[in-house]
Amino acid sequence: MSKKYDAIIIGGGHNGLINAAYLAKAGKDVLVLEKRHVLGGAAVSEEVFPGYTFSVCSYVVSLFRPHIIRELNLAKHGYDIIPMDASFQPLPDGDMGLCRWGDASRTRREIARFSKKDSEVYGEFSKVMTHMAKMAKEIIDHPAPDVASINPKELSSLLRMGKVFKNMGPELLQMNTKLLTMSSADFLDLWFESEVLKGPMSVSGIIGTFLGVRSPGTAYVLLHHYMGELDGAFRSWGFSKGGTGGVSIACANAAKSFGAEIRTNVNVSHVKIKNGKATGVVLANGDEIDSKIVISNLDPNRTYLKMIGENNLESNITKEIKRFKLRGSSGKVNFALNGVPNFCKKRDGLEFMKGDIAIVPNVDYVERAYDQAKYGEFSERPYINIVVPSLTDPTLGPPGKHVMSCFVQYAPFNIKEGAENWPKLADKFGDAVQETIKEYVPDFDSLVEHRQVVTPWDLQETFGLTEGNIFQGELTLEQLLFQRPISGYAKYKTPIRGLWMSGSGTHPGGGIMGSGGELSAKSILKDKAI
Amino acid sequence: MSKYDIIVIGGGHNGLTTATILAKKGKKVLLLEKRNVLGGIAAGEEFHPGYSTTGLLHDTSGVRVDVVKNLQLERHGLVLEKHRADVSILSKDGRSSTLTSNVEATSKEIETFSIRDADAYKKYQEFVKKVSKVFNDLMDNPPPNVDVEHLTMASLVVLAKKGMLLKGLGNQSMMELLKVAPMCVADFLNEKFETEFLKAGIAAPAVYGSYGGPWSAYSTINLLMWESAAKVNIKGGPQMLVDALVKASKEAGVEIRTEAEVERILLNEHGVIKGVRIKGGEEINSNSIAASCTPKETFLNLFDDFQLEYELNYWIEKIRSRGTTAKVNIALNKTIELNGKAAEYARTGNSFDEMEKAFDPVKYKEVTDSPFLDIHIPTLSSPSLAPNGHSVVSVLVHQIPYDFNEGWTEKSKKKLGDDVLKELESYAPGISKAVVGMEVLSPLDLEEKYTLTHGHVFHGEHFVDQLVTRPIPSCARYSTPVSGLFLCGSGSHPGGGITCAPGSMAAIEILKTL
Repeated sequence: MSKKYDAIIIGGGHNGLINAAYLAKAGKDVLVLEKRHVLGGAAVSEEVFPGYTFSVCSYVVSLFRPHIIRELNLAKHGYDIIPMDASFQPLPDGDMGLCRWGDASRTRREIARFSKKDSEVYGEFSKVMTHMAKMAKEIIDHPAPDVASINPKELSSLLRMGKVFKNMGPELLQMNTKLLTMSSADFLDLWFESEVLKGPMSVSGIIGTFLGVRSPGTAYVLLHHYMGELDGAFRSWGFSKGGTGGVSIACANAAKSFGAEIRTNVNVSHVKIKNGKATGVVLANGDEIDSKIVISNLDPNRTYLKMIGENNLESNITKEIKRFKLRGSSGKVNFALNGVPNFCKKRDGLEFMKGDIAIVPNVDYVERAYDQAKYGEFSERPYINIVVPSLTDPTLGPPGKHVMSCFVQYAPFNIKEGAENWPKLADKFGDAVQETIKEYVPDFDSLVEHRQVVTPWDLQETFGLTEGNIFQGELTLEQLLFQRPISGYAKYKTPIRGLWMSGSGTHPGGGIMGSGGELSAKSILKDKAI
Repeated sequence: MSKYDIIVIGGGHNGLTTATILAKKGKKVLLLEKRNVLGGIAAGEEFHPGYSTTGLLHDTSGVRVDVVKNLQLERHGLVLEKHRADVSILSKDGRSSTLTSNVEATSKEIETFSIRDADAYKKYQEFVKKVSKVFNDLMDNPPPNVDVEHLTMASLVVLAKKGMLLKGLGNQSMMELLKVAPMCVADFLNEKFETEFLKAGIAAPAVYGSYGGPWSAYSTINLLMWESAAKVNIKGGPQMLVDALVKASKEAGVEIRTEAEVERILLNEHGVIKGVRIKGGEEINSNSIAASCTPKETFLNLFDDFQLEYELNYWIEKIRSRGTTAKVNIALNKTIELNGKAAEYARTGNSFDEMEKAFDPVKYKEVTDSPFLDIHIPTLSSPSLAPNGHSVVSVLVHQIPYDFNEGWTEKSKKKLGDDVLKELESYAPGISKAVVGMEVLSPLDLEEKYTLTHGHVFHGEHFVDQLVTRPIPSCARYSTPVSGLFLCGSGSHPGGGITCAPGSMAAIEILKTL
């Protein structure tokens, strides 16, 4: 008779590990199963080329909830973030570009080069956004209320959300309606005039979505930029020491310290279901492991259609889950370099490159990139968000050498040649990225030692993200809150008793927040499921 | 003491509606119209000697029945059909499908090319019927007062009732509505239908007058709003509505002056409405004004700079009203059929991708070569609009930008006219050879001719944040922060199109204070 666990967690991404840590901390007997040889899911560091370590997928940290760090004592387990102090936007033709700094007055001086008016408005804008971001946290830090219910508990949680809006006052409320519904470009037009400034600001509204900066419903994602919170300090982004995988390792160490068991290279085939209840998992090799409950950290599509299987679901649930949209829109290209790629020789030092570098010279540029993607092509001139973390963390590459990570949008999963043909297009995609970078760093080719291209197809096949969606599902309004992933099952439960969810496909959504894992674990404990 | 209780600025269908309702209640009303004809964009025009349209817009399906009844417009010659007009959805491959008010018959016709869609259409209309209660409640009443600072018990009751109405749909339909409302119309209809040209045709009203294509989020709301409101048809088109309204207004005692362009709204030393000054310098006194022109025109052009509160000015300036509609009127020396059928109303679109591609250039201030069309052939029901045996084809062209980077010149307008003809050739081969006259109105022309800010036919985009609290929260219930000034045009709730709804609801609000 083999051992029966309290809980088995499928998927060792950061949410799964955090979930494990919380459950183990509460004294539960927990087993985490990860398909790959490394932990972290999309929050992973890998030595892709000898001597060079990359944050293969997710590459910056900001939204991670500070109370999780405290509650799991992650700092002790190696959670270490290097703050990013600059956000640079190079411009073609050797211009100085625009750099936004941690120091507000320095930023204002930079913006004034393009528009004096904008430089004056910038501070006011940040104030309003930060204020609204604080309110959004109220929503992120609690499970989503159920609007269909008339249960007093649910009503009171709806009321709490209502209060958030009430406390805004009419002016902010109107601004908030606009923020929730407008396109990021239109919303920024309410404030700013400089296309150069609006370019990099607007793109934070589209990261990971299959939408353009002129698509309605993208403005609210701008808030993410103002929700960035490191150790309680607002609006800061940072690198995890040793790559983003460092966050996952810290979570794994915390889980282990509380007694959780973690196994890698274990491929779960499906959830074992008996009389409508999850009783464990069946592995790809046929082995079975029993548990009282199972928690899937996979996306909703995989959880419902592969782990549960259509034959165990009612047809209306299958229909709803198939409506859940996951159209991935981005890829990654990682470079191993033999020197520093200088994005602006006119600037002194390299301070301006120690944060992120955004290739988005203006709003139209990124909208045109989207137009191409709408009809099934990757953008020839994409929006690229670049970081060179080795400038601040030399341990990532050999001495004098650098690692450079490029987040590239748009790369639609559903390319017109057919998604399965992405591997054949990978090199062309990589070339487009390299060509784009060369417009700013003419000698870039000579710096490249190795190149890793991660297409949306790879994100699906290697990292298990259906259709390459980095947030485990589009972050459009109809897929948020009580509708994430489907209405009726937005509180981490599924139609199968004893099967729970905890990934980015659940409320409050994607990004390295840890909220899915935390709120799921807390719901399980509150429910006395184990 | 002023001679008039109120002055109404603008003699379009909404201005006429407000003026008539107020006059019927015994108020002394003066209506001032800038042009020499009444009706605004509902007025028919002779665009070529001997050839006329029945209005710049031609969809009369949303006209409010209660206005027709209250103002006894049928006594004044209006013929109101109790169903929406048939619309032919055209495909470039020669197929077409007629959407009628009879769902069963429409579904039968769809069945000839897709069994799945025939069934989907029935289910779609069932859903529309269910949720139309919610939308009609919203559109048929003044917007609820959501000013959180001044929530009264009465307004809470109104809000609660709206919540109950939503709940009354049943959990399943309510959740479905909450799910689809924020969606783009392409995703919404792709879930249901398979035939591209049919989907595009059904979706088209969702993007008319909007700064977006079928892939733009929230467009589903516009479609559901249109479907919910489209219940009737005015025989002979919008001009017949104008004729009836004018007769009713005169009978009620409204004094009408045309070619009276308001240059300034005048305030007294307390910042309260004193009257207007019209072109030529004449000042007319009244303590109240109802403006049916666009909110931007009202506040930004009819007041002196810095006369208004900064806050009010700021929000009015932020109203989005980017015009994307042009009009092409064509006079033909024969009658035509579209895809082999006589159809008074027709829409093209062909596919979501083609519609989206027509919108893409708008973002860069460019013009598409293949726009999609909203076609009206008024001579089919009113042959007298053209010489015997001849016809008129009146086309609303979407998506054509107001701020075209090459400028709206005679040359660029001719190109637009030619592109529309080329497009029409696909459905009516040989049409170009039958052309005897043509008029192209760019969005810029619409602005100049009808005083539509940025050429926007709805007086401001229909988008979530500009609906319900339309045009801005402090002016959402027809009164404004300027004491004595009211809004009564399409820029107010529930928005543009030929409905008379803003005009009638504004009148009711005005009567409370007048």
